Parts: sequence; C-alpha cells; structure tokens
Amino acid sequence: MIEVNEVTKVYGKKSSAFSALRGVSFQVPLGATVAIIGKSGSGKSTLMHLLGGLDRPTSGEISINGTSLSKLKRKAMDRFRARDLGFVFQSFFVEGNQTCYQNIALPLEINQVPLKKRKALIEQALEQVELFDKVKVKARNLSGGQKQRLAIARAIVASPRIIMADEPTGNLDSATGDKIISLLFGLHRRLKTTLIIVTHDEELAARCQYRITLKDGQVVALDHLSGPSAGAAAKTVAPTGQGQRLSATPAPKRPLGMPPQPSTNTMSRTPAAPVAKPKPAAPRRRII
Amino acid sequence: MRFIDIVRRSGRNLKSAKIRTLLTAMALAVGGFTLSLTLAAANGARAYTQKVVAANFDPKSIIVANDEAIFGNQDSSQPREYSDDIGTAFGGTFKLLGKQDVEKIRNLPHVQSVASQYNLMAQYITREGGKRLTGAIRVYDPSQKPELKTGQIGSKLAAGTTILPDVYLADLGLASPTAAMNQSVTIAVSQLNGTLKTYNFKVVGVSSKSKLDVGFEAVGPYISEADAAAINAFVNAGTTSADKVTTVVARGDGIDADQLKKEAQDAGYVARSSKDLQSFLDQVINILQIIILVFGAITLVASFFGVINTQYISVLERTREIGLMKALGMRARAVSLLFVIEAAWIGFIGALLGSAVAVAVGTALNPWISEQINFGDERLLVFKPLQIVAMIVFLMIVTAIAGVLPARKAAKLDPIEALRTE
Repeated sequence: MIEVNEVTKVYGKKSSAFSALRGVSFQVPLGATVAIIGKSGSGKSTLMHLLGGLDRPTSGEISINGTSLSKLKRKAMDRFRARDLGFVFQSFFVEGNQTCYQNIALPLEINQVPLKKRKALIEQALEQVELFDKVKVKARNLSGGQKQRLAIARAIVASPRIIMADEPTGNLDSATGDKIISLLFGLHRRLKTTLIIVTHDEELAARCQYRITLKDGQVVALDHLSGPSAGAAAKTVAPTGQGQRLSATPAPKRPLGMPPQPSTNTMSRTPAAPVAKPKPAAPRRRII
Repeated sequence: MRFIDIVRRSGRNLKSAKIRTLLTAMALAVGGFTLSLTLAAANGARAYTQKVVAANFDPKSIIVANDEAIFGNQDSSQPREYSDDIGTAFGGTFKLLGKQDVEKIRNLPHVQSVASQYNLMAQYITREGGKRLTGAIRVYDPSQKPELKTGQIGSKLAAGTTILPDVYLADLGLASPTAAMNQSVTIAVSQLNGTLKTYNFKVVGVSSKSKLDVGFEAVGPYISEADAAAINAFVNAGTTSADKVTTVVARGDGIDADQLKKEAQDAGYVARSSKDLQSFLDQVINILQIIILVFGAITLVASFFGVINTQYISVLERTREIGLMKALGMRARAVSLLFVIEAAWIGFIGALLGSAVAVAVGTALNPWISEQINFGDERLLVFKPLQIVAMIVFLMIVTAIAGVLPARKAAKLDPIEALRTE
C-alpha cells in the first residue's frame, strides 16, 4: 500500500515561499497502475519526486508498505530508490556514448549484483523492450522511441516493485508513444509492477486503474477505474481527507530479502514460488 | 556500488573525453618525465661512485690513523694540544702513527696484514736522457693493486723495484710499456734543508689509470713499503716524523669493515672504511637529487591545478548523468569515488607517458651522455622498474587528491536539480 497523508511541500523561504503541494492525501495499493494527472504547475512532478524518495515533504507523511519514507536515513533512502524503484523520464536520460549494455548495467552496479548474474538480467531486460539486437549499440545511435525503450529496460532490470514514469511519451510522436505505453502496461501485467505515470494526457490516464488529479497542489479527484485497461466505467471517489479513502486488495508480494534474480525465460514471477533461495547471511532488506 | 565497477566506469568516462584527458595527462607527463630522469640520474651517479669507491678502496680494508683531523675534519682556526706524536703530512700537522702503533694495529685480532702509508713527494723523477718530472711516492698496497699494462706483481713489491704509471713513459723517453720494463728510473728526494738524495729503481710494471680511478691520490710511482720507510727516514731525518707512518691500510681477514673499524677504534685509533666514503658521496648525490626533485614537484603543482580544472569541467558536463546516477540510488560516496578515481586515472596515464618517454629518451642518449661527462663505460641514467612504479603510484595519489574537490561537488549535486529539463 502506498499511503500519502497530508503532504505539503514548500519551496523557498518566507516572502518567496511557494507551496507546490498543499495537503495531499491518498492511498493506492501496490501492484496497481496509477496516473497522476494535472496541468503544468499543478505539483505532479513534485509529488513524484516525493514518492520516489528524491525529495522529502515539508510536512505530512508518505509510507510505502508501512514504512515511512520520511523516517528513512539517507543510506536507506538511496537503497530504496536503487532496489524498489525504477525511473523513466520524459527526456530518457540514457548515456549516448555508452552502449545499451552499459546503460542498463548501471542499476545492477548500484545494487552490487555480481558480474556473473548481470549479463542474463540485462539480456532479459533488453528482450522485454525488444532491443535485444542492440546490446552493443551506443545509445546515441538509437531513435527516440528506442531510447525510451532502453530507459524502460534500465528501469526494470533490477526488478523494482514500483516504476515511476514522468511524462514517458512527452518527447515522442503519438505512434511511438503508444508503443511505449503498451510496453509499460504489458510489463505491469507480466511483472505485477506498480506503475505510477505522471502525465497530462487524459487518454493515457484513462488506461490506469487509479487516477489522481492534481490542481494547484491539491488533489481534486481520485478515480478508481475497475479495469486495468481503458474504457472501463470510472467511479469517482472523493479525495481522502474528506472522509472516504481508496483502498484495494494489496499487491502480491515478493518474499522479503529477495535480490533480483534472473529467471529462465520470462520476467514474470509467481509470487508464491521463489525463484532462488534467499541468502541467509546478510539478507537484502527491502522496504516492500 | 563495487569498487571495480567504479574503476571501470571512470575509465570509460575518460575514454569518452580522450583529447581533454590526454592534454591534462600531458601536463602530468612533464612532471613524470622530470621525476623519472632525476631518479635515474641519481641511481646512475650512486652506482658510479660505488664502482669508483670499490676500484679505489678495498672493501675488506680500512684506513687507520692516529688523528681524526687527517680525514679532513680539522678546525684549523683553533690551536690543538701538542703531543710527541705530532708530525707533518699533507701540509699540516697531525698526530701520526709510531712503530709501536703499527705493531699494535697489525696485532688486532682480525687484521690480516697492514701496509704503512707515508706522505712523500719526490723532488723529481727522472731517467737518463729523460725529463725531470714531479710526482708522489706511493706505497704499493697489495690489497689495492693498480691496473697493470704490463708486468706481473705478487703480494709484495721487491725492494728496489717500482711500478711506473704509463703517463711518465713518454717524458722519460720510454717508447712503450714493454720497452720500459727492467729500465732504471731515479727518484730524488730532498730534506728540508735542501740536501738531495737519489734512489734508483728497476721498473717491473707499468700501471694505467682506469676511468674509475678518480685520483684520490696524486700520481706517482709505486715502491715497496721498506723503500718508502727508508725514504721517509731520510726526508724527515731529525724531525719527529722520521720514524712515523701517516696512515696504515689494515686489511681484515674477511670480517665486515665496520667491525674491523670498531676494533681499531677500540684500540684508540681513528679509522675509515670504504662505506664511510660511499655514504659521504651518497649524501652529496642525495642533496643534488632533492634539489632537482623539488623542481619536478613544482611542475606537479601546476598540473595539480590542471587536474582540478579538468575534473570541474567534467562534473559540470555530466551534471545530468550524475543526477541520474543519484536518482537511481547511487550513494554520494560512490559518486565522489567515481571522480576521484577518474582523476587518478589521469595521473596514471600522465605518469606512464612521462616515464615511458624518459626511459626511451634516456636509453637512447645514455652513451652520448656518458661520453660527454667522461663516465667511461658507466651509464648516468639507470632506470629501476620498481622506482618507476612507485613514481606512477605517487602521481596517481597526487591527482586523486586533486580530484577530491570536484568529486565533492559531484557528490553534493541534487538529483532533482540535475534532472530538471529546460
């Protein structure tokens, strides 16, 4: 469960202070697809930064699976981002002079995945985004859509529980953007990853199970759409803090302390059957 | 993040900015070049003096005297207490060694043989039909045989015979070393009042000066110890120096020269071994080396700032990349280390470049340098691999320190700021 409780964020000090978020509260279950929608300046990027542990709220609390992010020390926060989150950005942020392989290796290096296991994980991730033939190609030689696919591969390679995508289609033409979106939703279905998409695209938001609409730093609407795909009947729920709260069944959990493991042919894992023995010594603690 | 991954990433970063890396490394290479050559020159100089000392001094022997001042440690501005041992040598007055002293030294437990040394100058050295030449009278020391061009001499030079240095041959009218053999030469000596006396010697050998013989002693014919004693008795007749010996070369039975020296010192004498001379020469070389190293270090200071500058630019250029790495959960320490190691890589490349050029140039120029400074077959520049490795490591440490400041800037970068797109 991702719980956001009365979160505010103020930038600047005193006279120049600017409130980007003013008391935002909501709950969404892990394993869901969530759209954060709003116009520019509505505070959606700020909210994503807070959810992603890149910044801390001025007041209020964000907790993920019961762990309060604001209570995490810097090291634990870094680890949270490295192990539990995958980021996809509007402008890709792939390293042009590095090969696809090297780009995707970064999260594995940060997570200290042994060298021997990396190759399989990277190849799997590239397969997921259909870039397998580009392993040794430098990222600068890829097209925009390919770059974003590469970024997605980098986001999923360490098997995070949550993928945060900030305007993932913002720099792409609509046909390429559609492909990227299908890819993200496909990964969500297969990997049971929580997908949080920040966007101003209503059409894209409509495909998500949850839709959080922000305006001027406040939640103006929280919609729970029954189906994971577009077109399903929407049920508008009043934002939390005004009585009702959203809740849903919790997402299937990966056993605690499981490092990302390469599986043989597909990334989808049955949560009940662990793919490998958890290390008894020095277990890698995950927040979720 | 693992250390090895950081090292690899930093190496890759440098590869993507080849020209900048190379230019910064070039500045370091100048320092590395200077340091390599300085170290090599000092190595060569030390090796050379070692050979010189070995060629001029028997490592098994020590020089024993009765007066510290004879080794040059005299403060001539102060008067010294008179004693009956005082005599003249090398133009000064010193306590010399008497007959009993020589016997005492001969009887020290580890002394195998002694050779008395006198400070004698010939009035002139001549031969029928030849010029009159000056020269010192040197006592033949079996432990430090001169290099012979011709002749065979055993452990002792017979009385009445001499070994003539080859530089005397032409002026004495001797065509070649072999022609000089068995010829007679005359050595005239003079008392203080001017009374001359001549001694005739048969030439039994001709010595040559090796390039390593730097001439600690004045040139002159070698004669036997007994003849030298007789000449000394004549020259100094009526003075306290008549029956005295300037110094004694005591040859040990193979024990360490330092122990032999201690034995002589315990007996009340002063002594010097070849090691003492070597350490004195080494000290001179070390001082020269330090002076040059300081200049090398100054060039390093310049490249130190060069590395800081380069790394700052690198951090600025890669703001977004750093932001991404931090957003993906890379620890600030790992980010910092990435840039510190990158700087160390630059140091490695620069030092490698500098030392490689130094070795190449040095090796090529060595024969020419040796010729210019009259080094004989010795080489001035002696490169030691371990020393070069240590120098490279040192430069890597220096550049890593230079990289700390920019690395801290990188580590402090706020990922949100860094990833903000315009």
